[in-house]
Amino acid sequence: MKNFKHILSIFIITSLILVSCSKDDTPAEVNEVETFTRVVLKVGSDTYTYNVGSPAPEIKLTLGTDYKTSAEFYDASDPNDVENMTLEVIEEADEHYIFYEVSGVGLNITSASDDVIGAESKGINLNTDWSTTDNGVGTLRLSLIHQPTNVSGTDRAAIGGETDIEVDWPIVVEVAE
Amino acid sequence: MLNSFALFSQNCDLRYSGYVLDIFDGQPQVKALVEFLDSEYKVLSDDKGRFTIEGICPGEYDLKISHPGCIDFFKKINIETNFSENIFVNHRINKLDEVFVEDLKQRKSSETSIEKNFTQELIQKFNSKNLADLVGTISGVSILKTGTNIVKPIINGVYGSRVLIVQDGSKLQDHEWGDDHAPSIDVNNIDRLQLIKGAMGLQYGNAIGGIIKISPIEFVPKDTLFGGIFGSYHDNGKLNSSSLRLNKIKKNGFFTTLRLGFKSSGDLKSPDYFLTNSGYNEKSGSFSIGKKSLKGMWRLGYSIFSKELGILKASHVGNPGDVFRALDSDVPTIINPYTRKISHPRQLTVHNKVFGNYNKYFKNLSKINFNYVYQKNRREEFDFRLGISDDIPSIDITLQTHDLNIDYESKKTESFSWKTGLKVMFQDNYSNPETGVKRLIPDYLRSEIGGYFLTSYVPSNIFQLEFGLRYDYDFVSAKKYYYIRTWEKRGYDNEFQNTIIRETSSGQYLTQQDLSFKNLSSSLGLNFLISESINGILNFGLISRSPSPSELFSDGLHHSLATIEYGDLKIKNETAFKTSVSLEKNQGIFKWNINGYISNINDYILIEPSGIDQISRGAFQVWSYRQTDANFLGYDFDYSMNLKKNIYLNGNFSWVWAKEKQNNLPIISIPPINFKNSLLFDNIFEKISFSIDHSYVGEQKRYPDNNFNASIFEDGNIVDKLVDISTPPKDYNLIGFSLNYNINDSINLTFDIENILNESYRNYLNRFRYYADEPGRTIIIKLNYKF
Repeated sequence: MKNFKHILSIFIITSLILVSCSKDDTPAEVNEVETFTRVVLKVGSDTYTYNVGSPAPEIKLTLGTDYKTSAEFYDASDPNDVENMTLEVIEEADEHYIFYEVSGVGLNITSASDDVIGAESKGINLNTDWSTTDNGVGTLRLSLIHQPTNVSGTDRAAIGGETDIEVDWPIVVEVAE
Repeated sequence: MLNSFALFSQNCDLRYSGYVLDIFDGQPQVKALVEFLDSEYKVLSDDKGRFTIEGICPGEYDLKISHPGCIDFFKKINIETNFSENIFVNHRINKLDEVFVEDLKQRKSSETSIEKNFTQELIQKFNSKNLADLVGTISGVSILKTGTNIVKPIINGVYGSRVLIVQDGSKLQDHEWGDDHAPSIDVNNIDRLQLIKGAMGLQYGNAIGGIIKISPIEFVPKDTLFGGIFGSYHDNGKLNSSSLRLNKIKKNGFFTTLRLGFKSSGDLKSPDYFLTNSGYNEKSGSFSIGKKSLKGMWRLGYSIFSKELGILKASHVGNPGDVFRALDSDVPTIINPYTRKISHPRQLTVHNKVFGNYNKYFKNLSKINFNYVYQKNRREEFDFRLGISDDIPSIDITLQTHDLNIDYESKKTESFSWKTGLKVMFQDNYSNPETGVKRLIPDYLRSEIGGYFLTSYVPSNIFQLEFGLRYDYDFVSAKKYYYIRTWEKRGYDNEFQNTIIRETSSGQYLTQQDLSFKNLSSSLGLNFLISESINGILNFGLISRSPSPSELFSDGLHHSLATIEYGDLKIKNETAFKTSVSLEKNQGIFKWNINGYISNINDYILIEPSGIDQISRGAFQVWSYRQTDANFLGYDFDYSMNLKKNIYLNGNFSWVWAKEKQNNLPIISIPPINFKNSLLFDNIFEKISFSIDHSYVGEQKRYPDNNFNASIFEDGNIVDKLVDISTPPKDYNLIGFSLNYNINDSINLTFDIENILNESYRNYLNRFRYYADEPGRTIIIKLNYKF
């Protein structure tokens, strides 16, 4: 079976060569594309910026006031190249939905007339109208939901889907002076 | 001629017994005729090669041992007292015959191992299912599941890298370390299957759980074409499966084999709803050619395996609030109508293999064996993407491995024989950066070199001993990126600071990890005859294994499981010491086998939930690897009772108990008690057999507490809700029915119903048990044509 032994040696030598030559190069760093590292809320004339890893800033509102609000999402992992992920969310509006939950204050949040339209012809709450109804101190939670099962749902469980990002903002509604 | 005077004057109550064994490999010769010429003393050896002649008058006799295919063996013996011995016969004269082949089919890899040989019938019964389902039929083997279509074997409580799968002479190299990575094997491709529990498989590797060995078909060299066409249909999931086996053999020993398999299933259904996205497609094929003769054999082949499977949509939750909502809901959060279409999240694995084997017998009847296997396994995991095409996978790893084994076996004469071997392995893992997701496992190069020495001592039919020693040297080299915050959090800035090559602009360190591991393993097996029908086996195994690349390097989001996994560079070798005692009664109406074991595993590596991490894609559960000293103990019990002619009650039972030594805490994912029974009516009108099967799985009462809280808004307030991912589900009973009808010698039809009562239940060993019930009733119809 000399032939077989020759074939076998060729196999071994080839594999040794293949393996030893292949991995001298440094693996390329992965350019991570789906990262959200920053959420920005523009509430009226104020801007509140949340960066992943730092606490969210406190949102200060006045009782009995209306605010035009918009939410934006960014990938700021490379400070020299900040990417606006909001555009991606808008492109896939059918598969996204933003849901707000509030505790400790009275705040109504509804989809604005210039909101981006998503599933079931409903606004996805990227642009919203806020109106304060009761003063107090509490928390506002913003959830960006992927593939919601029911955008007409009234609570988080009913809406379903996967939470892509969830930010809790401290919020205070003060009585006007 | 017997001396008739001697008959009257002496006691004719002497016994001559022993074993008839093959001179080449020590294998027992079944139904060999052992006789004293010109007398009435004659007996056939049993299925262990044992023979016993009783009531012998003292004197000198001409012993003859004959066996189809063997050279007749002659010897003069003098019987004065009871004695026993082993007789070695030359089984290979000028042809390999049916009897030899039958013996090979029943052959154990070692006489002192606790092992099970699977029959062709049982293998074919599972050809529309998975390898883990097939081996899961025996006691002590459980199944770890990630959903319904990812299943892995657990042997005596341990799994992953502790269970070695050997196919075509080498270890199956396919990322076996991942809980959600099922073995890349199609049951349709399996000719012969053995499962060795524990440490006696040292020849193949260092795995404390055991070895699952898949070998090619054995055959008789004559001009034949044989094989089969098999078809199956499952109503649950509307699974279609078909396979073809072809074997062409020529008289000169030349052979060629072909195996093709195909399976396609849509969504499975539990009693109350569909398990959305639980379908899968599997294709496999293998081809081999070779030539076998008395002098040896060569064999070359190629095989391919491809499996695309859907991940249960409702399982894809990472955020703690989402996990809470999923657990809180009685039904999966996503239920869609039945479909065959597999959508995201899904996995695609393709496994290619080229193999070559050459063995040769020398004139002194020793044997040398060369085995080379090249394997290429590509695993892609797909998920919904944001900003890039959904067709780009979030994990894309290609693992290439070259394995070369050289083994030498001494001839088996008298009582002593030995085996030795060398193994060399090279492995290359490539993790494609084009995924746009941080590599879960880095690029690495790995090499292993190992050697073993086994020796077997069979002084009599009462006692056998086997001893093995194995040494492996394992070296892995990886260039890996770590986020600086992770690096510091894991505490690498002490020991590993000098492995940093440079810092990148995105806050990562590029590091060089060169790690080596030395493993010394040893095993000792004893087999002794306690009484005529009972024998005992004692095994002691000391097995040391290297950590797997996953245990060392996992770092990041594992999309399809929606969890973050962290390995640890500080993880070192895991060393297990296992003692097993087994008693077996394999004759009579009531046959049974009990196997008890106790293992001390130092630096046992496990993965379990360890908190929540907020990373840039949201908050996910984190699972981390860690090491701890563990104790395992348990026992397996098998029985078979012949109640009446053709009616049998068969069953098995297993129990496993484990704890972490330092704090006496339970360990995650230990199988609960498992009790299976089957009432079998065999050979009715010679064509039909049917059985009623019952299986009971207990509630695992020992489990670690890995619960956490999720903050949920409820009625305008934020409240903390307990997310209970620890509590195992309740116990359950399943009833099944199985009918086999042999239409004629070639065609048979089977009809099975599983979970007849359409029971709703959840399985503790299924990682997706949080989200959905297990499948409900399934009707399986199979048509087999063998030629």
